Amino acid sequence: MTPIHHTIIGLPRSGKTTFLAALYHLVDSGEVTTALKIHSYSGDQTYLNQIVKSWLECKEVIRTSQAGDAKVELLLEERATGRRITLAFPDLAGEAFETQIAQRRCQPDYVRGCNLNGGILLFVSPDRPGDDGMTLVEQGTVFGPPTPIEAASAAAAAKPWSHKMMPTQVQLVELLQFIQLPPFDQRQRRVAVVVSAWDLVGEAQIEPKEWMRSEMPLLSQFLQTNQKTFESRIYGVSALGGDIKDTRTRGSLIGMTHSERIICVGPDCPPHDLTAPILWLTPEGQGGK
Amino acid sequence: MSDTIAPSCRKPGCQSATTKSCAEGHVPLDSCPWFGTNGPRDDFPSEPKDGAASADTSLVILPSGAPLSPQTLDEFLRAYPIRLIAIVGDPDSGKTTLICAVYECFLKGRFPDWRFTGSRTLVGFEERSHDSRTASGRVTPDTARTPLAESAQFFHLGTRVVDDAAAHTELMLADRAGEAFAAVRDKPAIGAQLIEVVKADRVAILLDGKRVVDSETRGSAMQGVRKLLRALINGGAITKRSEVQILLTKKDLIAKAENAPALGQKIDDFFRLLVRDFGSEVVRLSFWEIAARDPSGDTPTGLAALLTDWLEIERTAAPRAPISGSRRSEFDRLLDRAGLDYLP
Repeated sequence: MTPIHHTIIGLPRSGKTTFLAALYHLVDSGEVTTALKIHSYSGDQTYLNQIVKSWLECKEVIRTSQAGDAKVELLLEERATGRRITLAFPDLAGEAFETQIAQRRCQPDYVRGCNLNGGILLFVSPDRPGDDGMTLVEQGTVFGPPTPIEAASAAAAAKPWSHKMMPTQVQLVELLQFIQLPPFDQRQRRVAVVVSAWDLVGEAQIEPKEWMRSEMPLLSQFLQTNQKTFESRIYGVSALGGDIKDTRTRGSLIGMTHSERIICVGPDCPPHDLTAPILWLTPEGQGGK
Repeated sequence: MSDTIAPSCRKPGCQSATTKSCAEGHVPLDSCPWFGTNGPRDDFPSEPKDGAASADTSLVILPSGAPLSPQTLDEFLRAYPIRLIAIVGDPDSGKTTLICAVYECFLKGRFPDWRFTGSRTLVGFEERSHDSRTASGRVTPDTARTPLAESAQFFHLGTRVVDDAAAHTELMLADRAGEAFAAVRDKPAIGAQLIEVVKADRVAILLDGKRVVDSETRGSAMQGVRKLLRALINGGAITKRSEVQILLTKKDLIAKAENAPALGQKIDDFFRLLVRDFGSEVVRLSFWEIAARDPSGDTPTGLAALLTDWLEIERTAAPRAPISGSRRSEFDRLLDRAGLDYLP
């Protein structure tokens, strides 16, 4: 059977590195039952070991841009069938995805990876900047109209537009639209959207799909209306389990079995199993042994 | 006195010297970046070929996301049928603001009956929307003027009816610098070069509500629209196959005006005369009141109904047609009271 190769897509600070650290520990430790386990180590494990150590100690995981250009692949195996699945992070920092948006260029390796047999794990952070697409009219309804002096001084100091100012959901739609056109293969792909830091949202008692519909309607509608090219599911994931900057929360998390800190919410998803979205990306009958 | 040489277009193969028409769709001719130069200006970006390998590196070139030019629109048309809406109006009448407001409604999920399916021009929308966003650092919204040097630009929104997976429509909103329309008013013959108006499924002519509220500018605003409509008809850009919408913008200002009832009457009278004089020249002449950027609320007024009209109603060949849909303006309600179903 054709090997499975899933691609991870996400802008900087969307939770990819923390997810990777938690996933690596989860599939390696066997602390809780998961659908996938690690098949074998491959390549240099230094960076992976470094981020897992931080994750285990409930410390901020070192972001990739601070640790150099890391391209990471995990070789996983389905417990039930023995199928092997490669999970590829072509750009853990996410800066290459920003470059795609700003420079309208991408690496041929990225195209080759997306054209292999597999799906996409798309990372979204709910912890977005306050001005992520907010209009001045919307702001005005909250804060009231500015004084003429405020308006004049602000107009004089206005910032020029740049691609980085595009709202997160617009950038993600754009990244997916790129894949709909040549030289990317024209076929249906599964997309598992991972809403990271779900503990920030979870108190609202809302389903991940509903959160997407409410907070990122453009992306939600795009996925809903493009099912011929993207079959999608939405998951809420907290790889850390809570806000580690809060002393009490951190103390509570440290006392737990590490893998049980993980929260994963979504269709067919046991509470701590980060591998459920990855398994869904791999339809039955696909994947090699 | 020295002789002067009339400037001409330097684009290889351009026939504008004899045809008097710009191959790239620029109106007037001297707004073309090739006109009177040895090549395109530096600020006139060329469209990269989608999916092609970059010449200087091994990187793969991705679509630019910029507004489509008439040339790239032609490429798009080879793959998809479109619904083309020409947004027409004087400088600062709110053409780009309207286009951005429609996009913003999709961005915020504010159209209950329509879903977003994709856009080839997200960068174009975002760049035009910048001055209305908090990220710009401004505190009052603005919209950058469309440069005269640019020909018609086309903004794409893929749409779908909310409960009908098969009903996809590729909406294309055409924008152009307002000076081009001012030029048409002076020289109606060049109107036929406004390719987006000639080919439009709807021609939406904007009447600036801010200028209507001000008694000093009201006359020139209203008569400007009337003269533009006449010029576009006389020049052949609008024909008996055209469907024309007059969009009264900034409805919120009209409603808040001190003399709102009297102002409403003047607007009704203006619309009534337009219908009397031009109603038989087009398939349909309809009136809409919108507020794309009403500072008192977050939902633009009138855009959902306007979008539905753009997307749902098919063009008819009949020289006259009944007003379809609900009455939307004071004048429409006047027709209701008069029991009229057809434009006179």
